[in-house]
Amino acid sequence: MNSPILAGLGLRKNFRSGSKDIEVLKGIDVSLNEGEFISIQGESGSGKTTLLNLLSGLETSDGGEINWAGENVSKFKINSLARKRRGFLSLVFQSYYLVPEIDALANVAMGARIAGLDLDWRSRSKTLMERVGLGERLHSLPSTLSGGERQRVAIARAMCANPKVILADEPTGNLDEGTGDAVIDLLRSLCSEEKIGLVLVTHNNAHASMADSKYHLKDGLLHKEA
Amino acid sequence: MPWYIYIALRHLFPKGKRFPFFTAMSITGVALGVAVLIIVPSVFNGFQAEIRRNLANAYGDLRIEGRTIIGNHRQLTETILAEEGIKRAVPYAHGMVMMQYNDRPTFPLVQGIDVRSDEELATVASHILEGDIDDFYDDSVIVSSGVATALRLRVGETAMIYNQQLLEQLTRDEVPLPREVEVAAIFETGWYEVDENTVLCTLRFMQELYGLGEGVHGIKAYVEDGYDPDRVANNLNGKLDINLWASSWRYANREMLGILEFENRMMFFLLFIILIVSAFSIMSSLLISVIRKTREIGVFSSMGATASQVAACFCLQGVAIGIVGAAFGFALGFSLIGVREEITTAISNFMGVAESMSEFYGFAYLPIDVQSEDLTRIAILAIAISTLAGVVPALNAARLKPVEALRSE
Repeated sequence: MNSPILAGLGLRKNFRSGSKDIEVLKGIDVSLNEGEFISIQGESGSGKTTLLNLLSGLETSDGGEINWAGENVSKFKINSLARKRRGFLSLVFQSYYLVPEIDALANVAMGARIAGLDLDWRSRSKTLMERVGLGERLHSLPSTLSGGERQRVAIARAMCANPKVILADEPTGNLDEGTGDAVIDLLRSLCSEEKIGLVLVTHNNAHASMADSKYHLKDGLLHKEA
Repeated sequence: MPWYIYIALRHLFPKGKRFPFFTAMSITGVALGVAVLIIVPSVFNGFQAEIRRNLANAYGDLRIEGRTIIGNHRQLTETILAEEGIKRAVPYAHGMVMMQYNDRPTFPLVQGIDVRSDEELATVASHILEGDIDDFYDDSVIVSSGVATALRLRVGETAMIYNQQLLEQLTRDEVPLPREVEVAAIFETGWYEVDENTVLCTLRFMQELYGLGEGVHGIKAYVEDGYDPDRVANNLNGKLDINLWASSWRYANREMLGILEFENRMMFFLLFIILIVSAFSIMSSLLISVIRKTREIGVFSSMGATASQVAACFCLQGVAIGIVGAAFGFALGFSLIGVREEITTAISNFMGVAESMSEFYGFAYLPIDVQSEDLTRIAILAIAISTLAGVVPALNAARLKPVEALRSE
């Protein structure tokens, strides 16, 4: 059996609220294999985003271990983690976070440029824009795009970095149902074609049900659903 | 191009029709500071150069004077001319007299000129407004425009000159007879101090007026191009009789020149504060930008950007503002210098100060002297200060933790 591309073992995270420590994550085990798609659901405030932040190395855990491609990165410093993320892990956010001053194509290319990938990022970003159905909107500024189009640009940007894993934090949260379905279809098919592992945090049952494995986060613990 | 340079430039100059207000304000601040730093010192330098030139013209590069009247001036002139670097030496005598025309008196300074010196005559001829240098002989004078105006004198008219010897005659109960002189020409140099109250006569006439015999008050010397008048004066002092000394125009006017130099330095320092003010405007713009872009910084970090790359992105914006601001400042500064006469005329007409300018400074136009080392210094300062202004926001951006940046509202 192959070792997982991404794994969290016994992850714990506390937050201080006044004089009290609140234990948000109480020892979570989760793993993702190459090309696998898992979904995580849970109530608002249950710790879904915190779990994604721990898995992506944006936040440090209070306990447990995070493995990227078999390497324990729990003790890495911020800059080392940033370098390690290049070409390994991309994130897709609910609010897209595109750079407003540059056009859609340039936004997509940022994924590869920041990752410093040794590839022709111009042609790769153009290809990705065509694959997400925005071949006609290459030079449109983000402000002129619809919410669904912006999220597709954000997905193309995540893909452009050539990652092994994509962590998507409620990517359809700001979209209507039809557009949200199209975005998830696109994300799922692109990850499947490129053998990219996908972790999807969502409130939408239908989207969660598309995953190979479905998890529910409750009371600081992650439960696998049948 | 590295991504952080690309993003820095796009933050400053975004694509599309959006007007980059913060960028425009920051660049304008630097440009105005640079323009002022170019214009004001150049005008000051121009004034100083003009004053220096006038001082040097009036004084000569060097003067050799003695404790008493110099009797053997021909031999002394030969000694001076033998000194390396000296191209010309002419004797002079000067003093004050009373000049009268139609019951109107004035008390001009009289300069006795050696008419054997073609260069001296040529210098005078170049400033003549009316009359002819060829009519200049022992019983004629060339008066400055100020003297001509004060006495209502015209070329060809005759005025009376009273000198100190006549006063001595009065004390001996003798009848003093003034000298009659014809006005050969009227001159104007553009330097107020000279134009207001000067009369030129021949050296021989001056010797007679002051009873100098063959003596003179001193010798003016001019140095070859590239020679330092101070050094030549020092060398000469080593060879002259102990009762004679040579001094350069700079030494003779050292207090005035010292004041001008001090003014120049103080003015540059004070104007430098303008650049500091614009640096604060850059810093506040960039700090606001860091706050506005906090989530963007978080996204860059999540994509693999290191703290130093994020810092470079914001620091480079300071550099770019400095470079573009300095370029605009140079363009603005030189444009305003180009139309300075129109501006000063408009201001003078509006405030009615044209006369006082020539009265205080000695010339009615606005001289300018742009020095390349000043320009280099200004460009380096503007870019360095803008860069420093970008450092604080850059460090703030670099210190942001990715997850906190993403969570920010």
